[in-house]
Order: sequence, then structure tokens, then C-alpha cells
Amino acid sequence: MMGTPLFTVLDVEKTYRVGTTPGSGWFSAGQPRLLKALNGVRLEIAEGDSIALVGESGSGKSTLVRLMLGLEPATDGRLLYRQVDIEQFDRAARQTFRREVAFIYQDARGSMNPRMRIRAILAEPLRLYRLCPEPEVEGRVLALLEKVGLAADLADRYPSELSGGQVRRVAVARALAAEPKTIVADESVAGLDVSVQAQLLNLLRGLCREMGLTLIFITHDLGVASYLCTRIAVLYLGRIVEEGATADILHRPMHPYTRGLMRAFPSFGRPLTASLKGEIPSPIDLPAGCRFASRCPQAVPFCLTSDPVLKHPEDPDPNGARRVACHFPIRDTLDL
Amino acid sequence: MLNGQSGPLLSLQDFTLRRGPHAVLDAVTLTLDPGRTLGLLGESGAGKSTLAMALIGLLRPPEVELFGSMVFAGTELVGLPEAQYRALRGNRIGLVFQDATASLDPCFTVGQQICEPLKRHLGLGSREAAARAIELLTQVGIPDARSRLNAYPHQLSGGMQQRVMISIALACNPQLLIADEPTSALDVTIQAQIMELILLQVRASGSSAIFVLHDLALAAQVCDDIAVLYAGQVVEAGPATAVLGTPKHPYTIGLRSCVVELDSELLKPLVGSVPSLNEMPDGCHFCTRCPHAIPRCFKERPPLIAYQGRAVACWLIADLPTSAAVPTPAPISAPTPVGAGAP
Repeated sequence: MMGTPLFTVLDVEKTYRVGTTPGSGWFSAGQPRLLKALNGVRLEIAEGDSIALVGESGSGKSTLVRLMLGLEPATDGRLLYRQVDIEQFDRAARQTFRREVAFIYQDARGSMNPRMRIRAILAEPLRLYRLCPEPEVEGRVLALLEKVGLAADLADRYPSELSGGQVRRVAVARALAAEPKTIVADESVAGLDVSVQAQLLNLLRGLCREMGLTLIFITHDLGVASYLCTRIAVLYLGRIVEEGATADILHRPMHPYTRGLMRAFPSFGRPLTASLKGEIPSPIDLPAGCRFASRCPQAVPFCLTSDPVLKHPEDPDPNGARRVACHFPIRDTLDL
Repeated sequence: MLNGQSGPLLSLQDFTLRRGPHAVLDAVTLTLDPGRTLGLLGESGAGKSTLAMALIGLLRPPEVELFGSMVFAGTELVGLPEAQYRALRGNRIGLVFQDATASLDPCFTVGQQICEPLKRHLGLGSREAAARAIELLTQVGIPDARSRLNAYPHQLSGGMQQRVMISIALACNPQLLIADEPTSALDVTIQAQIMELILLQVRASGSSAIFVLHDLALAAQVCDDIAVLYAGQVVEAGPATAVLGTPKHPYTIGLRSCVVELDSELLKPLVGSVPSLNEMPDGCHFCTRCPHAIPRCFKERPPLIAYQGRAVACWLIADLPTSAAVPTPAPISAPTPVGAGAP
């Protein structure tokens, strides 16, 4: 995590209002019920980094990314891109930001206009950002298709005529069309056949290495995270609970939640283990102490009252980039 | 259980399902012994879910044409009248679908939906059925089961809904449980809980289960036997340790090498995708993507033959004494349940 930070997330909070509690009488309105989707997230992403945001549904991964892209304002805290607050962008800066940071939506098919042919979908960013003179647009579109391993004759099809894997490739091609510096992808390989998923993972990994892109990848799959990214941040109930280099996290996960996730990950040669009991609690009524205490196998009464902060463990890793939010981080290596 | 015979609980012999001119399932031959769990694996379009739907009689003539035979506990299911199917479904064959939210009826409470098979198949009265429903919900790990009986499905989380589905499927102690991707919409932690729960219940009651899965590693963890389907044909079938530990069919080898593990180095994915039904080759359906295909593969369909503790349908293996062997992946290391080095 050396180098100048590209993205800086400073104690960001995001609260949604979800209805009101019942009032006490006819004329007294209830209190607003608040859902804390993000609760003090601090993160730095350097240029050229590849980081995976991992966690169960409801952990706040997607919300964090929506805030980082400026699609929604933060309730509190600041988000910087190249040291500038993204809410303070002027028109020109906002356009540069939009061009440099490409987002691949979770629902690739839903993110494309069903009445546009693939050719038009891929040409749109080229024309919008005036990336090449009009006569060259066609050639660029075909080059993009080739780059993501699709045949040129797909350019004349509509999104509905493509298979799930092909649509995802088109989404990658469209993201690349704007010549971005960063790719943000939300569950881009989830719900695909293993064969298609493997093809897409290799494509993304190859592109990022070859073009030196920064990658921010949301996934619930630790295998995918470790395959694509050099860093992993594990989220739980709106907080980062552990963050560090992929190899460190995999070999020596210090947070009990990370360990639980890894044990639950299906693997050949290991029996099925339901490592974590219960479900992620509702973000409407957050527990007072450590958020994970209700499911934690090693929780003590102290954990129920005191909220741990995300900090470097006392004996830092040799690489020095590890942060854990646990009162009692586990020191030994994980024996799966 | 009911007929006291010792043979397989379910046996398919050249079972073919045609939809219009296309064979969606092409001469599928499988057996499932009592007390075992079978995993159906393959990419989308392989016919896994179609097979599950056909087994429970939800895909039947005139919508599709069925050939061959499918015998469940001594009863021939091909051509079985709907009235008799109804007596099986939800009673001796339990079902868990992928999308619990869509499978539970939003207009009825959880209690009403669990009691329905209990009243219909077992003839329980309302009070007995409710008592049994509470027992079932407690068994599947739903806290405070009594009050949950009056909950509507939308008031439960995805994991809880799937638990309710499982309790409905298990309500009448079925001899066979069919679960079509029971956990693919759930988080890994909940997936592990749900699969553990299903296995526990199936083992405790001595029944058999068929899992339709797309996750090979999960299949290795929960299935005793595996059948790998490709475009409607069984290409490899046998004990999970053999099929997933040392796969022999080029398709199984390819699938196995697509799986991302925590320490995967570089994936070598299968190229291409399953051909559409009207472009299906005559011989082995996999020949268009097979790295080892020989001219014979395009013309003749390979038979399913016994080979090293499993059945494989591949000309390279059928012709083994004379032709080159299919490359073997890393050897097995750990015995439980399936061990193999990273591909």
C-alpha cells in the first residue's frame, strides 16, 4: 500500500432512513428508524493496487463502492480521489473521474440498454469522451471485442441475444472503452458456470496486469478474491474487520470472522464445516460492543460492551500492512 | 423402506427426454442406492435441473416425450398417472428448490405450508400437524419455532426461508430428497449451515438425496456419488472420491481445473461453451470442446463403460489398450472426502 493513494476513504458513514418507529399517541410521530450501512470505514487504495472487498450480504460492500464512485453522498466522513474530495469536484474533474474510474455493474445485462446493439453500446463511451475521430470508432469497437475474447460478429447483436458469460465480457469491454485507470467490479463473476467464471477471471486478471489497472473487486467468494487481488478487506456489518495482503490474510487470518469465512469456503479435501453459527444481525439495531460478538466463537463478556477499532496488531506482519478490528486477534497460522 | 427390497432406490435406464425434435436428456443411465447422496454436476444446459424435474413428474407428456425407464422403489415412473405421482411427491420424494422465496407461497403462513403435506399425505389433524410442524422447524434450526408458524415467508431471511423449504421437504420422512441448487443464492457461511443440516437430516432418517450442484468442491464435500452430465449425456459417474479426486473424462478434468480454490495459481479453463441443441454433434456431445477428440468422437457416441472404479463415456478410454491414455491430474492425497492437489 505504498505510493500515493488513489482513493482515500476517511471514516465514512452511510445511514439510510427506513420508516419510523410507532409513535406513542395520535399526534406524536415516531422516531426515524436508521439503518447503518457503513459505520466508520477507513481505507486507502494506491494506484495499481488490486483490492477485494469481501463479506456476506448485508456487510456494506456494495454501499461502500457506490459511495466511492460518488453515486450516493456519504452521511459522514470524506472520500478523496487523488487527494480531492469527490463531493467538491467541479464539472471537468467529475468528467475526468467518470472516465478514469469504470464501474462494472453486478447485473451486466440490466446495465445495458436492451434496444442498443453491442456496437452502439461500446461506441458510446468512445464518442462521449471524444477518444478517437469518428472514422476510427468502428475499428476501436472491434478491437475492444477482440480484447475480451468475443467474435466480431457479436457487434450486431442485442444484449438479450448473448449468453450470460458473453454479456459480462461486453460489460468488461465497455468499461475498458473509456481507457480507465481503475476498474470497479461488483460481483462480476457470481452466478456463472465454473467454466465461464474461470475464463472471465483469467481475462480480468490478464487485463489488469497488462494495462496496469487498479482493481476494486466486490465479491463474496474468497477464492475469487485471492485469485484476482493482492489485497483483501473483509467487511462485516458496515465495518472493515480485517485488511491486509492476500497471502497474509489467507495464511494467517487474525479475525475470527475471516477464519469462519475461510472454513466455510467449499474445498476439495476438507469436510464440510458450518464454521459460523447464526446470521449477520440486522444493521438497524446494531449491538453495542463488537459487531461480530453474537457469532464469535471466542467472544468474552468484554466483547459485548467494548467496540474494537481497526488497527495494526501489536506485532505487525513483516509487510506491515495488516489491520484487524478484534480485541483478541488470533496469532497462529490457519490450519485448514 | 416400503417395499423392503435390497436393490437400488432409484434406477434410470436409457432415460431419454425429448422436447420437440431435441433430446434434452439423452439415454441417461444412473442408479442411486438407499442411504446415499448423489450429486448431479455440469454446466448450465447440461440437463441437471431437467432431470430433477422429470424425476418428480413436473416435466411430463404432452409437454415432453419420455423414453426408457425410471424406477423408484419398484415403481416405474415413466408413464405413471398424475394421481399416483401426487401420492409420491412431497411424501416419498421431497423437494427443495433453488429459490426459496419464489417457491414458498407468499399468501400462506409458514405453518400452513408445513402442515399441508402432513395433513394430505399422513392424514394428521390440525393440532397434530401443528405440533409436528413445530418439531420440524426446531429440527432445521429455526429459533422460537412456535411463533414462527404464524410468520409469512417475506418476514424471514433467505437462509430461514430455505430452512422452511427443507422442513417441508422432510415433513413426511421421504425416501428420496431432491435438492436443486439449494444454496446457490446464499452466503458461504449460510450455505455450510444449510448443507450440514440437509446431510444431518438425510443421514438420520436413512433416506437418499440427489443434489443438483454447480460447485464441484461443495459436491465433493456432500455427495457420496457423482454423475457428471454434459449436454444431456452422462459422461462420468461413480463415487465422488474417484470422479472428483481422479477425474478421467476430459470434460470432468476440464471442469475440475476451472474451480477457484484459495491457493489457485493459474486456472486453465475449458474453452468454448455448450453447443445449442440444434447444433449438437452426432457422436460424443463434448467432441467440439474436447482437446483430445479423434474423428470417431464426432460420429459415434461412446458407451458408458466401467473404468477404474467409475463409469466413463469416452472413446479414448473405451479404446484404451490401443490408443493414448487421457492425461491424469495430480494424484489423490487425503482420503476424506475427496483429496486432490490443486489443479
